[in-house]
Amino acid sequence: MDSVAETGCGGWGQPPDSDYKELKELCRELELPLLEHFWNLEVVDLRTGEVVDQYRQRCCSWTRNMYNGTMCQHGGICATDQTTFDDDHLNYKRTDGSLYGSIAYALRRIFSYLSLRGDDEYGILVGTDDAAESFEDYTLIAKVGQGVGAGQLYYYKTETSLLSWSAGARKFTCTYRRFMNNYSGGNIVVREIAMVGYWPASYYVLDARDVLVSPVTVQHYHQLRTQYEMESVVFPS
Amino acid sequence: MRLRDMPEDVELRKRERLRVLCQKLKIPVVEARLRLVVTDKNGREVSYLERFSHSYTRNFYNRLTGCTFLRESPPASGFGDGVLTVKQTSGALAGANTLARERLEDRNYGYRQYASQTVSSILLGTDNTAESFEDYKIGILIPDGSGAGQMEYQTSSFTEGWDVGSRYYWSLWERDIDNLSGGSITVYEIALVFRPYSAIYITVIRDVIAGGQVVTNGAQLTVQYEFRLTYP
Repeated sequence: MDSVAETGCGGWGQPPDSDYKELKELCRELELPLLEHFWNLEVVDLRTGEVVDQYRQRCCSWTRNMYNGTMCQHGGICATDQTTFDDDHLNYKRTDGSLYGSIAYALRRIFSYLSLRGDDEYGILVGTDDAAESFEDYTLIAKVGQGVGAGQLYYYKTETSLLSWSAGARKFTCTYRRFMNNYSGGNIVVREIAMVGYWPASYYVLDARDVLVSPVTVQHYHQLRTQYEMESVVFPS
Repeated sequence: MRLRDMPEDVELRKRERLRVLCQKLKIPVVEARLRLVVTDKNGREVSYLERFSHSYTRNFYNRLTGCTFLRESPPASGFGDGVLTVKQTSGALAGANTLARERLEDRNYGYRQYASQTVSSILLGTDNTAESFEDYKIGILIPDGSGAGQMEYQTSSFTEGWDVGSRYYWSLWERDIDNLSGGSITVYEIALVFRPYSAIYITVIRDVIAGGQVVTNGAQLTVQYEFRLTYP
């Protein structure tokens, strides 16, 4: 194994873990629900099965899309404004840059992260650009496309584990997982990772984009295993 | 220190710190405020109460978790720890990712409801049993009407907006409820019931008013719930 990295958002000027602990404590005291999420990455040599790199990082970058969805669902509003994607407008920016707003957009029930094999439009996706995360991100900057050609990864389907509940910690955990193989003939350096949701009728909406604190190199004939781990608030007892 | 023992100024400071951290860490936390305004039959304001709502139910927590995870548990799993379901006001269960399929801002979906209807939106009751995380319906509903112990529920209204200075989006749900019963009525509990679609009714908040809120005959009680989400 070349390296093992585990980090919160403590590096590169990002918030320290103590801030998260304080926030969690405040939410517990004020009886407010809170959610957290993390990225786990692992690189495996397909020839030997050896794990050559492991990585864990707090996901720090829910986008405006995700905030707008949260406000709509729990504030009881529909995102119907298709004019501008900024403050004071509730809508969604699709990965192609177009805006979407509709009374039907409260339909998160049929929203999905479960992309199929070979689909690089949604689910967990990776890219090679390390441009700083922005609240306004709506797409990966330089997505690694599907395939076996130069600079491409072969994407397997995005899967989800069973929902788990920790009786001791009193919280839910849900993990989405996706494997990607490098048959490109060269190295691919992954610097950004995203979670993109799909709506029927081909609407793709980026919920989170994170720049990796340390880039992950996926050599030829290696497999990148990605996990998006979501944790609920600690439930009141 | 639990919230119910917390002095108001301490709570305000903590909430301000909460918003700062939420902005910094880019984690969305939805807050709710409750306002009660009583006006007498001459239209004069005789009482005003504003406070943070302290009582999101398990339904709210499960909806937030289910909607974000895009996961839910089948109703047969039950309702309680480790299960992502919601308990309807009827007691029947549904998946926690049961979300709005209809026009949340239109007709009588979401938190909106027509006059005289007491199946969803803002509801009043007379039970002062302490709030519980497991509440799924109002304790003792004040029925619609003008008879003894009844109040007339008006159509709920809705506004939304963006606060430039504090960078939060807000949605405000309001309902006027009139006392034409001929006597005073003391309101002890208020519930906010969400209707995602069809005949599904989910109580997401139940607040108990310490000491009760007296509404004299001829007076009107205006109830507001305001949701706020602070953006980065």
